[in-house]
Amino acid sequence: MRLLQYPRLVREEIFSNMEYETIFSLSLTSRNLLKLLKQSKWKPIEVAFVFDWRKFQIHFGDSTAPLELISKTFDWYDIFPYGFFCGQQVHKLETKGESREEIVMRMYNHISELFQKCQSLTFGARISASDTSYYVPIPSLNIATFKVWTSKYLTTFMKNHLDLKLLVLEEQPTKICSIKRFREVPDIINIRNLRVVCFEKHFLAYMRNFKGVNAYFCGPTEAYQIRNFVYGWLNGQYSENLNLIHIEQEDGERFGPDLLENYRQNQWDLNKMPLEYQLDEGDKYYTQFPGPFKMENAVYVQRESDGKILSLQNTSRVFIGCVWNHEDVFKE
Amino acid sequence: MSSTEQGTSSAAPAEPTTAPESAAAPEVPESFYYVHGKDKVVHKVSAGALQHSALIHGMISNLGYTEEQAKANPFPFENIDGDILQMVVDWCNQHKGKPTPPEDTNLPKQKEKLFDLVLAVNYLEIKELLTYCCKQVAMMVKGKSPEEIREIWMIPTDAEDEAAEKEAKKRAGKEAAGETAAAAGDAK
Repeated sequence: MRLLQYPRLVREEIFSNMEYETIFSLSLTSRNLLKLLKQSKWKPIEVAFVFDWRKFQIHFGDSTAPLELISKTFDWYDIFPYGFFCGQQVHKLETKGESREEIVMRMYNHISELFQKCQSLTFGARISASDTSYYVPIPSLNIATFKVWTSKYLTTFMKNHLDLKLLVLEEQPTKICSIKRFREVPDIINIRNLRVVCFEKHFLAYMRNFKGVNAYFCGPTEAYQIRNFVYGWLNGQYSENLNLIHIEQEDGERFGPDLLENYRQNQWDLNKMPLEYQLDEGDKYYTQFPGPFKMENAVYVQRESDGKILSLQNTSRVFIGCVWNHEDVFKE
Repeated sequence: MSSTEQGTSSAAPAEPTTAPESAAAPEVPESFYYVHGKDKVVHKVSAGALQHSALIHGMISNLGYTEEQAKANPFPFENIDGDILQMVVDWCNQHKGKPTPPEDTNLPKQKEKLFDLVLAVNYLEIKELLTYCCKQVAMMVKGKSPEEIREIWMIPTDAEDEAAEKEAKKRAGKEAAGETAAAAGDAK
């Protein structure tokens, strides 16, 4: 069967039925095939580069997802620099003595070329190694996930990746990792979307330095911390850009039913006020909970200095705070 | 003449579901057409079955042939092997007037047969069958390594592509030189 003898539209139909992993393998067969494939218009794709101890991996899909949930990865080991391991197979690659860094960049360029007509090509990196020197800087990186980090390294990383839209920090629970330096919070987190799994430090430690727009936290959270956040917001302690804070309790932990009792006098009136909160279109992709957030049972506080409104809602597991402009809530 | 006719009974035209049974319109006798492939074996196919093929449907929609005229003028598809055309006709008959299922497991498993079927179906513009075939072709390489894909789909290596390109250039050069020489000879 000669694929290249099919008319172009038939080839396109065949390609549209293939998974991205197979498209990637196909693109490695020859330069002519790559030329053909890059003419196709692909649906949005996220490509993840995972950097770990003496190896890197490529997979297609959610770059922030834990590796054990990824069904197919292309693994490159420094001790076997001849190709990718994919399940039981070896995908041989002519390397011409290239270093690991050169192979990473070759694959980045190859994938960028292959999916150049994609509606939206997102690159993510997961840095799993405690030695961050194993990371090879990916140009146009949109998402970065860290398991271990230092404040200094994260600060430099953010400066070097100005396209970064989402930073994910996965703190290790104390019982697994007790090295203090891994939990430092950078002085400034200037990324639009932040997602943190907190164990050692609670969300306020991150919020103080967060200068972005949407923040998501998962971890044990006390009622007094929520009250401190609301108080801090009323006093302008957090980012001017802040639009949304979403906090999810760790498994087993619950918010009490009286979490927002102090603010009940300002009940959200669904007859007069917006029914739901929408995130910016551009942010939806980078958030775990893209909304819209229904305003049922919400309460609110208003900041005197600029008239902005902070709506507050909670269930037993989740607290959501949304920032509104005064005129968007109280329409004349 | 062989025939793939699915019995002689005509397919009843679709009726509005709200119409009472007693008011059902009288059955219109179904018209049939004839097609043959490279092997000249003629297949009798109902107009209903042929509706799957946008190409044939376009050809027959305004013909108004009588049974005799249709029999005397089978549509020739010389570029399609007889067994492949038989497969296509069978598929059209099986799916006549029915909604097409999301999967079709009766497609050929041998890659050369499937390759020819795809070309035929694409030529005859049978959209649903083309979709099934392309899915099947895509499945052939699912989870395979580049080397395995190269073997299954007969993809030349870069070196082979380069050699073929060189050869083509050489041939084109020779042909051009031959034409120039012939033109010079004519001029003399």
